[in-house]
Amino acid sequence: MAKTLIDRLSILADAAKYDASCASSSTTRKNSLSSGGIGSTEGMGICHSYAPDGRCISLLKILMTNFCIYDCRYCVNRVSSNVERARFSVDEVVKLTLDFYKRNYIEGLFLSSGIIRSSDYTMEQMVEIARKLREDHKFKGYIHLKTIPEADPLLIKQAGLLSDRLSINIELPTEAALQSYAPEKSTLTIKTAMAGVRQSIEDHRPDKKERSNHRPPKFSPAGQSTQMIVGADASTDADIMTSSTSLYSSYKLKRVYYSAFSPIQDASKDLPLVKPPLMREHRLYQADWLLRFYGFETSEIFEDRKNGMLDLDIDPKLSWALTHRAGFPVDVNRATKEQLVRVPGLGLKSVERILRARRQTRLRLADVKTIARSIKISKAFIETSDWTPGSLLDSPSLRQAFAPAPEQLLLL
Amino acid sequence: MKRITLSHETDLTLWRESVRPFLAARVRSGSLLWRVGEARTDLFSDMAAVPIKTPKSNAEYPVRISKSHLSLCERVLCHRDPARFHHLYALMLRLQTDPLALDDPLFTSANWVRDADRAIGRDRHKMHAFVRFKKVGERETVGEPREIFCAWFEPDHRIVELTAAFFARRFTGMDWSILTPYGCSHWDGSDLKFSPPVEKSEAPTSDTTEAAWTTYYSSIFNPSRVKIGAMMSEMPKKYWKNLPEAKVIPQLLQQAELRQSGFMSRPETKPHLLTDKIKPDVYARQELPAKIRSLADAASAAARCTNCSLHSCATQTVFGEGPVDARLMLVGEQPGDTEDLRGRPFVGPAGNLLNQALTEAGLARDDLYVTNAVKHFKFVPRGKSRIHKSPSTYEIQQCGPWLDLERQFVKPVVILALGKTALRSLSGYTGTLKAVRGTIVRSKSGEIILPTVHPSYLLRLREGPTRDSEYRSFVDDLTRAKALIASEAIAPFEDISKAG
Repeated sequence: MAKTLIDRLSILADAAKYDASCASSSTTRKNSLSSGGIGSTEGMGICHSYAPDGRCISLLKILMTNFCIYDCRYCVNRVSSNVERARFSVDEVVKLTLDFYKRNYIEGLFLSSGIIRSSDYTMEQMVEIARKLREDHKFKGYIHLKTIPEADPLLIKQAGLLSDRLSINIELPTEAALQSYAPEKSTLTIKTAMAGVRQSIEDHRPDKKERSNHRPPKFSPAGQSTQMIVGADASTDADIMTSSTSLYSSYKLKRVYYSAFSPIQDASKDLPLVKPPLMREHRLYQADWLLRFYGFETSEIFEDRKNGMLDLDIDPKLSWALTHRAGFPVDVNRATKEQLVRVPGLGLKSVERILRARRQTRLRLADVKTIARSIKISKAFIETSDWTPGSLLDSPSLRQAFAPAPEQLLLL
Repeated sequence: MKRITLSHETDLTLWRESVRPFLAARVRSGSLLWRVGEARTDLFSDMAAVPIKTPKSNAEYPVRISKSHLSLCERVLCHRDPARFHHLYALMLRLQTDPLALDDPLFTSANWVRDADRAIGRDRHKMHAFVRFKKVGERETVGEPREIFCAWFEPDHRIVELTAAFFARRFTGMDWSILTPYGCSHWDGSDLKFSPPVEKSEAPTSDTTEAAWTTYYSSIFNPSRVKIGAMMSEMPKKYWKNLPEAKVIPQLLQQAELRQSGFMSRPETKPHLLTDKIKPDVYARQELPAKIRSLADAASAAARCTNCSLHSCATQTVFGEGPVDARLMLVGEQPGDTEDLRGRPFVGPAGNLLNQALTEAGLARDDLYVTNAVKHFKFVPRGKSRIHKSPSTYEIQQCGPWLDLERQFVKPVVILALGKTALRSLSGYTGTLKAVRGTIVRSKSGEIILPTVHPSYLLRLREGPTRDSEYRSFVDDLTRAKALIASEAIAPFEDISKAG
């Protein structure tokens, strides 16, 4: 019996939920006033709803089909899985996107797909969906296409001209892990495709030196991103962060998303069928931020982590500071910006405000509290005109003060 | 006490005209009483007759409100709290003499206005997000029929006018109305219109697409990661009654635990019957050429080289390129950022400089075989860029066999070693470049090796006479190489070995 549209939507949305990204921000501003069509993007993304898993729903995140010829072990759609299969036609996806968009349910479409027939065929269909939306329906909303790395570079080029963001999943942090978990995929192909996208983005940027009115068409204006699965294989956090830093610098990625592996339907038994490591995922995002915005190096974050894993109980900056107490306390009235951002409990915004405020006056502890909202953690690491942590900083129990209280193990 | 009666809650022009005379007379905000519309008596109803104390000088001061403060007023006027008139006036009054009054943390009205502006911002954002249109029909037009949509929304503040432009920019191609307890906005494709508030009962109650939307909402939820707090903080319960998807939240939470443990406890099933038929044969793809018989074989084998760890961070192997019968071979150090992305040697800034120098020396790049001593890019990630790092002795050694294969198949007469790494890989020489530059180094296999600098060395020099003279001598080295391959006296390497 043929499945109804609703049945298929349920299957194909269910299959798409393991993709963490739902961002609809940082693309170019566009609206429909001149074209008389539908859709706009205004810089800031909008989260139209929130699911009970606390994640925002901004885009219609679906697979075109969950039929797939690949056999990636971590994936719910792998060829050997017995999950129910379904497929949308090009027109069905177009109509569903427009119907949802017109009701203000979504910011746009995040389209991904299992690989049917061949990579090129699948990519062609995805590009056709984006083309119909943009050209036939004058759709100006957000489009994110999950690119198939094996597809013809020409198709990826077309995809980039139609969409706001392209992404190619690296899936696992090391080549060895990818080879054993996803034998049909290859790190080389994935990286080469990312390199191609980076070049296309750069080629389509208007030349600043050249003063002409010629503006090349926008290519994936919200950049490219990728996703890594955390906890399906034995890779350590250090492996993951090393891979991320290399990817950020090589392909100018906007984001690397970390997705805690969560139990899937009909999973293969060699995968850890436990609750998803959400705290690990959270710590990885924190480490990612330290690398991108706080001037940390991967090697610094992991130098005292013997097993290559981040501390789950405390955040990575605090963890680093506790093993580098010689560099503290930092005098908030004199320290450089680089020193201040390394103080646990002080974020970038607080540091900016401290720098601004200390031009006017010498800061006291109470001032830091007003600026940073909380000084619970930071006060052990800073000095102000009326405060010094003294022996608090050297206390061997400092870590305990911040870590969650120990829990009694359950007696079975 | 002076009463100011406004005929509209949020009208900026009206407000502006009403406050201007008082600001000009510098009347304190405490002596003003605000009211919107007619009707209603209050404690001060009878006091309207009491005259205001005008400043003694009776002078009129100039009134100035900057553009950004004016748009702040426009936004804050939409706030629900009647106290907004008082605080806005107090703030504007202070701003006449103290331009930084808005940032004064000890000024109550400034604090109030800033908080109110943030509240309006949040309310607008939530309205952009949580309005749900329902289709109510279609309208015949010249071209395609236009769809008509209607929504009911309950904002915290009077932001209908403030948000209307956003909806017009986004939903230009359809007719829509947004009904709220504070008023309604309407769009017909060309004009925005506003009308008085209506009851909720006038709004449509259902839409056929809601079933699909609720299905989507339920399916995209991952039962293994329940985090109710995160949902509640971003989508507070007060919005739920107008969100079609919110009806299924209790049910989803109830089933979450069951669904998750279902995934974890179910016994493993057999692979799908058709697995082997559908799966592509990856092992066929991965097969290496059994024996390397040509330059192309060497290139495809090198593409999968994992002899050292450089392959794990670099994008791809950058093998040499050029005609297999080239008489001149150029060997650089390693690919750079651009080469790594494109998979071809000397295509970045150093490559451009090399091309320029080649042209000046009268050499055509198409006639040369261009390659590198190390085939993967070695770098240190630094934020969003990669900093070149020189390859180690070990890495040069590990890559040696690929360069040897290239020499073996191309059989160049002359090899130009660009930089120390290339020279070291080609000849094993570890001394300074200066000592051997301008001489001819013979490799063990008899090729002529001409040492020179790497073009990226020239790029690193500051522009000036040193760079110019270094560039000249680089071109001279290229010219010399050209002369060497052109001279009949030198037979190809193969002949030398035969003669030997």
